[in-house]
Amino acid sequence: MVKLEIDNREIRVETGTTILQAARMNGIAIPTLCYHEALEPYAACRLCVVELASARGKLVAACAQPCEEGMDVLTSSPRVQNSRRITAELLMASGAHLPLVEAIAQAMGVQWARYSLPANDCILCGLCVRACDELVGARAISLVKRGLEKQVAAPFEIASAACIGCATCALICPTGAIALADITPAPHSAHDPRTCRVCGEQSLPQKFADVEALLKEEVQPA
Amino acid sequence: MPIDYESLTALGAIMGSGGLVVVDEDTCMVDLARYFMNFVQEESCGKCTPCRLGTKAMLDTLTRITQGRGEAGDIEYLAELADAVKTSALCGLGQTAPNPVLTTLRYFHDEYAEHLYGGVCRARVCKGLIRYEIIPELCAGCLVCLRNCTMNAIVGEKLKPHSINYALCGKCGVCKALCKFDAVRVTTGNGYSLKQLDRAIVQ
Ligand code: SF4
Ligand code: FES
Repeated sequence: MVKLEIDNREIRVETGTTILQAARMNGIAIPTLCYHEALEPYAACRLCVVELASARGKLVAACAQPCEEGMDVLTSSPRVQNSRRITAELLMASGAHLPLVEAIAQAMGVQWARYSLPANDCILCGLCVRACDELVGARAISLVKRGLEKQVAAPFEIASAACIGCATCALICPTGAIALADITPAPHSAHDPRTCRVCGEQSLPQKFADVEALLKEEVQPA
Repeated sequence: MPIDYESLTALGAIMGSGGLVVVDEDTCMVDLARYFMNFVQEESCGKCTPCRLGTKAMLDTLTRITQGRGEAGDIEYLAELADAVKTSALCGLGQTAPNPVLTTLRYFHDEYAEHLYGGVCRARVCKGLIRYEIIPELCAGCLVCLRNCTMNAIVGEKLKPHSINYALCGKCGVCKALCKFDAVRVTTGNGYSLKQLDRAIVQ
């Protein structure tokens, strides 16, 4: 157990608990973007920063920082709010069209961005990549390139053979940046398949469905 | 000044490569900040928001200022960005990336203000704010600059003072470097300036 203070409230938590978990357990809200309960912390969006009054006002990512004995955490000090405001404003530069980014900016009191970049649906939270790796175990996609060019892609930007088509990435993506498309090649056969008149599913061609005729053919080759 | 960790930190610099750079009055401090920001912006891995987008926002703002296209509020925006990136970036690169902006703003605030509000680059480096001029009294009309101008921007005849066609001049400085008579000078403060613009609007 460790004892710490969050927003001047004394809190006791299990060793290893992150500041974010401790705050949420105690009803203290901290905004997050790249954090997901089912995944390892990633500490990339920097929206969840909190101030460590016990460490000369240093800002740390609450989602990744474990609680330590005697910590004095401030979750909405002016420093914290300033930092979140700029982060939200920067996210708006290429994501102002996204409802999620708009909501975050609004919550931070940012009305417009003083800077703009070409619109991009992906905010590089990395949720899709981590879910594919940690939850699905497929590792079909990853973050490629660096800096502003960073993006989510399959290896060599060709359809990944490791993708099992589970759509977890598309479901976890908070901005809807991942679209699903069925790229399975259409089955082809020299024989016309039969089509179910209820569901439209295609199955064994008539020729092979007619077992008796097939057997005869085999017994007496033409 | 002693070179130790404490003194350097107090100045806003760091111990390590590139922590301390010696420059003279021919270096424009805004352009220097732009140069370093370009470097860190390219080095950013792009994982965390402040460094990925913040360094680029700072670079673009600095670039605009050095091109003479600065806007009111640019200095304040730079200061806010620099502070936010320094305090919230994930790793050491992002946390030190704004240092050139922070230290130039701290010690050379006037130079930023001159760029923005006076249209002046006192080091005569920022191309958007300078102009090459041929001083007619000194020009011997030797044709050297005319023949070597990379943009064919110099007009004139032999033994008569030459002049520069500003529509063509690329501000490369070849004429100044080649002139044996020191007849080419660089002037600043004759371009676009926010102060002039403000005045124009007021009038
Ligand atoms: S595609 Fe969606 S989930 Fe993946 S990094 Fe981009 S915003 Fe996050
Ligand atoms: S939620 Fe902590 S850095 Fe993104």
